[in-house]
Amino acid sequence: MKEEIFELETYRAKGSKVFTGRDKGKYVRVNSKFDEIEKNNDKVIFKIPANLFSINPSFFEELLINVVLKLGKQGFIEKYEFVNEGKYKFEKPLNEAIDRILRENNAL
Amino acid sequence: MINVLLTTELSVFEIAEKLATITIAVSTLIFSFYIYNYQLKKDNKSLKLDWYRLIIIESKFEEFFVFFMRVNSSLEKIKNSPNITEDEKSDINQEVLEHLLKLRLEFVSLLLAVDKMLYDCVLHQFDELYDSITIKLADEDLNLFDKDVYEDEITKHISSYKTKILKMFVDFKGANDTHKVN
Repeated sequence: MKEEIFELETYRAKGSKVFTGRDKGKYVRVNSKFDEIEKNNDKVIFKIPANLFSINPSFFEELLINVVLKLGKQGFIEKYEFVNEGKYKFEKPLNEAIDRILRENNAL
Repeated sequence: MINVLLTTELSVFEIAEKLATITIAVSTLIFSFYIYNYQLKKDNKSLKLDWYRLIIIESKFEEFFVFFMRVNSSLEKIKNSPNITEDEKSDINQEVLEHLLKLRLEFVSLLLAVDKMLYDCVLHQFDELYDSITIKLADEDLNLFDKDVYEDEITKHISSYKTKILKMFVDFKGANDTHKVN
């Protein structure tokens, strides 16, 4: 079973405690080759760094858009393991981003 | 001989008349088709606007104002709190997120039924607003407990987004190109 660790910390701007905005999400997706990591592995460990103030839905939405569309919610949950190195509660913005991606692209 | 010529001339007139009739008929057909298409588009646009008014403006628009009221109320806690901790500010940030999620579920997502581009534009503006609030809350050098700083950085900022988003709803005319992300 092939697995890879994705360190969000690598893409933190110096001194920043937030990950916000679609532009930043897209920047991380492209520069980290986020979609290729998913494609080339059976499992991805997504590390949420310590000392964070917020990760907003706009950031998650643009970062995860392709992998969530490919895997669906269940497939994404099964393939990605989130490891929280701090105390920031990332679950709500993460779920919001997944729901938005699936709703906007599949519903109505 | 004269008789033959007359017959020939009459035939030419007849041909011309028939050609004219055919031309008029074809033009009428094309024009009717154009009018039919124009009317159909107009009716669809009008129907879309009727639904927009019914679903969004008349039934759910209150949610828009309630959201801003809730956000302002959550952020007011920072005012006059010089000793507010980062954890407390983080809780306020989470509270604002809750308001945004509720708004998206109960109001913004309905726009998908009316116009996808309007939905995208409005949602992006709300996201921008929330992102900017998060950045301000996380900024340790920003003294938001100071009345004047709070007024400039929070009150006026939120108010400008409220106007900008409200304008998108006012400007919406039922077509995809009537509103743009600024």
